[in-house]
Amino acid sequence: MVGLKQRPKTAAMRVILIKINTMGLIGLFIALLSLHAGLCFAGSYTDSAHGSATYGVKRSSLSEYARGNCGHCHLQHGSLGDSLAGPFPFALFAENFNTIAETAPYNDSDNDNICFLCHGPSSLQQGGITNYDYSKTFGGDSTSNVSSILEVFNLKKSNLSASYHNLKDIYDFALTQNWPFFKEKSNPCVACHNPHLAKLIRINQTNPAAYTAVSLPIVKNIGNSQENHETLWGDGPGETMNDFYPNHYQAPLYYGSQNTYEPGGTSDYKGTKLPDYATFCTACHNSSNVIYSSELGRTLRKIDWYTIGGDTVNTDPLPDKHGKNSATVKVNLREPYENTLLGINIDFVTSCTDCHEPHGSPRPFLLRTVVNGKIIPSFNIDDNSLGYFCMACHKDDKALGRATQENVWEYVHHYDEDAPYPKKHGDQGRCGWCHGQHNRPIACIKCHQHGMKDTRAPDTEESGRICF
Amino acid sequence: MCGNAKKIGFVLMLTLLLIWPLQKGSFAKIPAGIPCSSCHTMHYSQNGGVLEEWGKHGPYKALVINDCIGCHTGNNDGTNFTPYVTSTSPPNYGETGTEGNTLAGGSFYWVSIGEEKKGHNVVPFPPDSRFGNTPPGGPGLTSQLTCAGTTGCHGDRNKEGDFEALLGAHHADDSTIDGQTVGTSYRFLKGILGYEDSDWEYQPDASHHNQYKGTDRSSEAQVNTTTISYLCAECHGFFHSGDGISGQSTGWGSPWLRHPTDYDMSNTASGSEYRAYPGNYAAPRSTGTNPYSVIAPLGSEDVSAPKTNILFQGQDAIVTCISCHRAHGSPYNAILRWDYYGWPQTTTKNGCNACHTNKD
Repeated sequence: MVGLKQRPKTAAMRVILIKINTMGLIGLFIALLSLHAGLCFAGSYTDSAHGSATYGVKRSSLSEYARGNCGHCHLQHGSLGDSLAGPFPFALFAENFNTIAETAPYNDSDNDNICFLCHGPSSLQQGGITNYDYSKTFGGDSTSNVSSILEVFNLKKSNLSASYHNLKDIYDFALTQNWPFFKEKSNPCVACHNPHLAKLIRINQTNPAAYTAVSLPIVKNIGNSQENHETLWGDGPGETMNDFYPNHYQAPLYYGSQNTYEPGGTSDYKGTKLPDYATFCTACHNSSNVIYSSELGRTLRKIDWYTIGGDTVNTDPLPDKHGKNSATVKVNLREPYENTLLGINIDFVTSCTDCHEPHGSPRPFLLRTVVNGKIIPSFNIDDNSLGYFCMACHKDDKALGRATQENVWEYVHHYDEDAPYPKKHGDQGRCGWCHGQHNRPIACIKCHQHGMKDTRAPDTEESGRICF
Repeated sequence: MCGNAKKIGFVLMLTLLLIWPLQKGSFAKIPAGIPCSSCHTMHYSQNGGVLEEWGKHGPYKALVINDCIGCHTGNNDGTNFTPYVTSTSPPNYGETGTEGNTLAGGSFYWVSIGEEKKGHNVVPFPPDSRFGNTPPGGPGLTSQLTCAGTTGCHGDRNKEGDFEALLGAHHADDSTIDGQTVGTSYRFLKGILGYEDSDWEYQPDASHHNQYKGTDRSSEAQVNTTTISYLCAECHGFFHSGDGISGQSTGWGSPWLRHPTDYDMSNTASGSEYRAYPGNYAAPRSTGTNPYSVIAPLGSEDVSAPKTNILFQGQDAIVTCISCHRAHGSPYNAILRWDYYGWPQTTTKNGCNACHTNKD
């Protein structure tokens, strides 16, 4: 070991080396050609919200690590200097997800979920992280008054009507799906987000597609490319709401505006900058998956957002008219749907995010507090006050000039040309069949849920229509 | 230009291109005989004094002219027959320690000037002010880390003292590295195997580099005492062995609790990001698919020759401690091979991405 060892240098070896080097040159040319063709490893992590050198992860306590550095989340040896911190799965600096945390409120001090340690009010991130809900970020306003992801998940702490995407339910469901990226120690947040790819969508309100934060948990082929959890969803060709059903997606109005639209309040009314959340959400919430909700104490209704055919379809679940399926005659819609530039008056498709928050809401069923540019008054899911939510897009009798009060739907259901339950003269006694002896309004939800017909009505009164 | 001139020019250019890669390997003839006096002095005295090139704290054991650090201090230039592991002036490490004048182990230079996080804190440099003599991930040593001896890395750890632990090793026939003796162990790391690059990885390339011994483990408790990572684990054991590496209730794999070593990436899914090794970090003069990276090297079970390419079969894609760290020192905290702490703000070079290719 003292001396410098010789490299092979006999005549025979030289010949071999020359041959090797000749092959090497050929390889070099091929490599150069490859580079010329743009074959290199893209900087997907450094383009992400976590990996950005400009705005990426930066824990206040870790001054030695550059912003965006892996070390802010991962401890390669399960320790930081002389303090052992774990070790935790995926070499994270804290417990990834505590499966004992079955329901909200989630706790950031007990490490229920590592994401909340930064995406919470006591953020470890230098300067904190402000995350408003979807309504405020992309719709322009909200009444939830939250500024972090943890707070929006925990709205139930102060509001019994609040709802949230239960993380343990997501975790349990994900484990049954055999998704290659989801393991026993995974965090339910990664069912929707790939933390190494998710972009800074929150400050790019006008173009969330280009700065999308979601990745499909399933594999989907779009043209010649394959989308999966290792790619972002929404940023590529064929991945926007307009692509989901071209020229059938009318973006809702931006808060307080009559001529700008979600997301972000631009003139784009076709959702060309909105990720295709219909495809994204139905990766789980589709017509086949059985998903249990511990909050509701039942399995969720299955959703068919794809099938068309109007009311003639009789599949289980029935295809939603808020999806690609369509009203068959007419629908009384407000602007921007009534005079949409799409050139249609029925057959719209909606994005799940037009009505629902992704993480949580002060309202039931993750329903938004601002819809189609309007603040929705609080409502009860079990009575007809839910109509205030519906009338953000649908005209009630007042909007049709048939009533003086808001949230009255009698004309729509009984007198309009397309009314499903036309009222006939002299049949007052018939009202009670549905409305009871006190002739009260019926809770919207009795008929208007995903995949539902009006089977609740007496047999003689059933319209046979798909009611959602 | 006429046709003949073009041909001549092409032939000349081709000749130059063919000869150029050979230059590195064709100069290094070992001197016929290194004089004993290059290393030894009988009386620690010459003409009534101590020579300038000798150490000043002699006489030294084994009649040598200096201690470990003394002899191994200098500037590597690719022709030196003593590997220099530190220097009195800043070495040229470059961004990854592969293109300047440092060797595979890096350099103690930064520790020598008081930057204690940037090297192993061996005697004669001060012990680490934070960790003392307790290596992270392991129990405390009985005394400060030394080059060799009971608290050293090199030599026979059953013997106390640098010289005693290495006695005779420098004269051993190490044409076969079998780990049986100090002299026939990889880099005098007793019991460790590996392929020794002839110039200790002075400006290594795809076919001229050390080949580190690793093992394709099937459990975190499994230990192969011949691997380079095992050597590290003799002090930093928690980071290599025991029940704190894999988060699987049974088995050996992701989710990892700590970064695995002696783990063969051939066990990852065929479409995983690891199969794209080395990403943007291919070694100079590499060809073909999955070329070896001298920036983030992988170990192998077969260490009979340096690997030019990783085949992801035959246990040749093994993560080692040395894949990320230099053994002696580097300009970076935690003796990392690249400026991990600065990435992605102050550098675009991050050897982690040689394996974690999707995170580049």
